[in-house]
Amino acid sequence: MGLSIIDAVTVILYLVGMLLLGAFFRKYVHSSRDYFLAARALPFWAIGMSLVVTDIGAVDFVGVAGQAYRFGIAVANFDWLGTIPGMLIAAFIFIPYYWRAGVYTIPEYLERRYNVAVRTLEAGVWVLFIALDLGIMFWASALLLHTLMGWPIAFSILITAFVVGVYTVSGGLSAVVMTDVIQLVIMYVGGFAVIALGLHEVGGWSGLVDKIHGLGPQYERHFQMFLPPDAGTPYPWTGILFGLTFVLANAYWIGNQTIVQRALGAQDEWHAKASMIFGSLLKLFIPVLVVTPGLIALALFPEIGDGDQAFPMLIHRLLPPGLTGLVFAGFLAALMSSVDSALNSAATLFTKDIYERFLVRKASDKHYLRVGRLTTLVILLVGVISAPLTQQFPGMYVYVQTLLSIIQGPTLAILVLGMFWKRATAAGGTAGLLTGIATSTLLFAFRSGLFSISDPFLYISWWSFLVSLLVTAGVSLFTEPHPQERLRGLVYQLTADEEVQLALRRRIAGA
Amino acid sequence: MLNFDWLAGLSMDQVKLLVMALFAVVIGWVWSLPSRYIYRGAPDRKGWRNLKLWATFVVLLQAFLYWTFG
Repeated sequence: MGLSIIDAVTVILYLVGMLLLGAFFRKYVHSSRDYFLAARALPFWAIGMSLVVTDIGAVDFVGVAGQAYRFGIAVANFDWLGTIPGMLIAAFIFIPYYWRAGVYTIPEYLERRYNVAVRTLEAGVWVLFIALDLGIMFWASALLLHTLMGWPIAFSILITAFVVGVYTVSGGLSAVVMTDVIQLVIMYVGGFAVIALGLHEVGGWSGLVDKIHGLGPQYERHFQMFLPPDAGTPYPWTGILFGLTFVLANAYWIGNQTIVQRALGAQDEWHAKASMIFGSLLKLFIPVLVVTPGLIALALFPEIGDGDQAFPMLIHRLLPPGLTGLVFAGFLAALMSSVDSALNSAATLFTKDIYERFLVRKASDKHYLRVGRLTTLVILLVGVISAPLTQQFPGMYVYVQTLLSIIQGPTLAILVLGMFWKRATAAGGTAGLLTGIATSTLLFAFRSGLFSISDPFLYISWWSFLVSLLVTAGVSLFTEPHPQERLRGLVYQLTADEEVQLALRRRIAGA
Repeated sequence: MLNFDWLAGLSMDQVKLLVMALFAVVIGWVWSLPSRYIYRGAPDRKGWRNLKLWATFVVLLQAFLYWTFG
């Protein structure tokens, strides 16, 4: 499927527009604070839009639609029940405390609350994860664009890397967030165009339901959000509630640097909180964009065996010339918004938590700004170079995702106890994090003998969270408590009096 | 135990009610937060800046979706 002239012009206009818009923000970057935290001047609406488009990648359109094709709307739990409560907890509890503490990164908060070992472990794992994930993101998206549009794979990777690289290196977080705003609009318009055409084709929503139910009894649960544990899917309601809602969602929205960093760039505490709630409202529409196409494809093409072909098939069959360019730009927007955020966050983690903390401690701010830009460029190059390796190591995607799922539960446990329980100590946090990681690693290694479902990542995250929570609490009770002065501004409700507010203002001014 | 077998007896209607109760708890928790804390950082206390209302709206929308498709 090639691009017509009008489609090609749409895509070129989009790419040039992103390049110019991103590069425009270079003139606002004079310090490392401008670069990493957008000078703490971002409004809630821009952050909220950026949060949502950062979370959704080009591959999600295909992957989630494929899962919806196979398992139905239960997949939407990841964007609804697995998102909204977590975003509200982030908005009202964690984000205001991070913002007031004046930190750049989550590991930085963890050092202030626990110790340097916890910070280093968290920062190291996140930098490694983002760098590896970038290559996979580039490769998977390039494959998708090749399938859909016939673009050469190397060309897709290089053009995306060039445009994202120019505006992310020059404009930092401001450029990332403001381009994300435009990218969200383009992604929504492109996505809804596909859905409107698809629903028209199947006779509206009721036609869609009738067609799918008419396919046979095996599809009777395709419009149910909750599936019983014995339904033979990776998404039983028990996993959705305990693993996703209680653990993974919270870990993602309060412990993921890529997500949290834009809220730390908010112009004040109210905007920081409001950004998460506004983002949660926009997030309600994401399943419409990524799940509905899978259902439409099932109604129209029930014969295709591979669910991941659902979305490409829909585009091939439904889109008229003119709209294809818009949808293609929507794909590029989803890809670029994820890549720019990953680059900016990885550069922040490396510069603040590793370079400034261990390698060069007392350099000038300009020096750290240069290091931040250089790191962004280096990580981008690592992503581009490692992208083709994904093809040679087919299990790489699984390993990288496993790395993330192994650390999510334990990270949430120490964040929750660190924020809500002033008795949690450095020794407790370190022991809890290490024991939790060991637990999830062992559960993952022996999963086939321990769990009744084939891909039990939701269950593993819950149990590793629980073990980490208990070990952190247990070890903390047997070790010396931290003095209250050290915990001020880092633990929930330890900020009420004037003296504490003064200490916090001093800390922010010195940050 | 690892597979939550002890919850296998719950029907999907009971699960739906459980999730509705969770939404109610979330709304109750949001409204229990002090208004001073909700507005901290805001230049004024105009009604549209009340983040409790924003959060309630989002949770009610989600509750409607789960009530319909649960």
